[in-house]
Amino acid sequence: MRIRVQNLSYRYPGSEYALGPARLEVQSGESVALTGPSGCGKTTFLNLLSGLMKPDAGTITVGEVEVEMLTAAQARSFRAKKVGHVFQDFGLLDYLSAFDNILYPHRISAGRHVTTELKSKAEALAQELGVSGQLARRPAQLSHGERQRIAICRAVLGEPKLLLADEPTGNLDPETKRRIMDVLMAEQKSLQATMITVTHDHDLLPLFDRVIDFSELAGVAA
Amino acid sequence: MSGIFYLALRHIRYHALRSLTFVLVVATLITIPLLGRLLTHAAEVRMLSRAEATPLVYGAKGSALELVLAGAYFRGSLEANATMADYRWLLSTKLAQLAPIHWAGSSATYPIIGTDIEYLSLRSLEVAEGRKPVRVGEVVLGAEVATALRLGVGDEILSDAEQAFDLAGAYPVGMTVSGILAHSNSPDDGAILTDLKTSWIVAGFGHGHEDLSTAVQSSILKQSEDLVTANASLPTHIQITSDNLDSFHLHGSDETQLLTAVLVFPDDVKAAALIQGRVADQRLNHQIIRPIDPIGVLLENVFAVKKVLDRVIVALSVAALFALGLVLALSVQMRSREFDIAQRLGGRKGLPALLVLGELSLLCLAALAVSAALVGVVQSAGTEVINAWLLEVVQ
Repeated sequence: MRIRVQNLSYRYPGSEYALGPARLEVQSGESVALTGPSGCGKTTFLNLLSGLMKPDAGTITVGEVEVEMLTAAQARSFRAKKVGHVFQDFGLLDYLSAFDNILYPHRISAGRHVTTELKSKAEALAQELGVSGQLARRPAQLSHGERQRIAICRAVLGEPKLLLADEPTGNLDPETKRRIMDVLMAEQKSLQATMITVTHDHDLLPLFDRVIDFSELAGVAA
Repeated sequence: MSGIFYLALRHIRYHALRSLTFVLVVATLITIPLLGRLLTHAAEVRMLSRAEATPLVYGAKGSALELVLAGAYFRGSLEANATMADYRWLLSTKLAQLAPIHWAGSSATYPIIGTDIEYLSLRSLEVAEGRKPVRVGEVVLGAEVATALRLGVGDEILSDAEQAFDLAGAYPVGMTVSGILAHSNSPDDGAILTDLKTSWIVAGFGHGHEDLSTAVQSSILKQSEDLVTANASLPTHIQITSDNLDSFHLHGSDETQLLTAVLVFPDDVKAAALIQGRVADQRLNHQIIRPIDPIGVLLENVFAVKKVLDRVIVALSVAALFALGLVLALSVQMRSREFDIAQRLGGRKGLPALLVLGELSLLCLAALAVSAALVGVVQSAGTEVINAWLLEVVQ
């Protein structure tokens, strides 16, 4: 899914600064690492890409979809069907088992259902990522690495064409970081999805097709 | 929506203790006022129906309520101050059917009521097992008494001792159960009915004599052909049997035998007015009461108190609901992370509200189920309790 961003501008209410790259293109199936100091707008950019926030100006085109033009309902549907999210804190819910966490997006989105087929697919995916034995456990009973694998399972189960990962390996030891990224990259390749990953970890940058320093690209404007 | 309820169920299960507390608090909030209303209504209906089924009660002058409670409900502690002479005078008016009532004492706290055979037909009481009493010393048990004391036809029942250390007082009397009444949802369910003579014997107004020739050897000091001398051992109770039946006799004349009340069932409205007039005119030491009047006043007073209690319950309920609201608000706040994740994952519109309402509706359903079960259990036995309480309150 190709991404085109032009003259993007977003200003937080009360802030003097507008964030957003003047021009950015990401090819379909490409994996991109976004780096840059904290506060330069990387996470905001991911939110703009997924339609969670609306820009003040400029256009964001994801595939054929002009994200900034989407209504709230369309944006929710777009996120549910086209976008996979991997969060730094895993974003798993304590009261659900690992298996229910994987299926969570399908329970909360309008028009999506948890079918037997979907459950089988989730089990197969968990098997593939090496966490099939942990599905009945709650997040608190899992290791960091297992939690992140469960979070990746959840992100890719709906076969999204855009994967957004916000520091997916933060707070992990080097070995686990590498394993997690290998898994994530493998899934991205398998889905032929475009992946934008925010990361501060320079050891991981060689894994990506392209690395963008967002502070240079964003062009903070007064 | 099935996904929402699934998640709500999981959340309830994860927070089991909190959920259980919520369910119990809401169930209590629903149950107490509902149960109070249902039980008091049932008790009110039952008390009024008894009052309506008893047109007039005749007895000694004094508290109208005490007379009605003793005569119609077998409650209280009214002295027997009417006599058989009063009963015969009422009978001579030929204006009503009558049922004499003599409250003789109790057996295991259930009242022993002496009356005549007409009482059963006037009250439309059916004998479910056995037969009506036909001789002195026989009783029929109300359904509740039979169940509580586990007695059946042919069993013996003993009246309670009035005073354990009063050697000169009336001895407990052993009687035979001849029948058990069908359940009538009235005070008769909790009564032991017998004939007047038996009740007077139980009250100590009559006695029998023991035939020493058939007495046990340990009681006999000396025995010759025409004389038997017994020792001073005391019997624990007197048993009325077919063998000693003839030895029982009353002290005093029949006219002076005491009654607690006389239930009066006038032939019509005119007869009721006439008999009330005659009592007022000719029986200055007595009164004739329409039970509905004192019972109506009693219920008004009791329900005035209940209204105050209702207001207290409403105030407590509001306070409890505020507390639950606070718990709910905190719960929503604690789930803000989940709601944020759900929004990022494309959760449907109004998902936080749906999740909270889904959980709330399941908890409320569970509370309703608990409440319904409690109401069912308590209502099956509770009317008796409330009825007894109402009567205790006025005594």
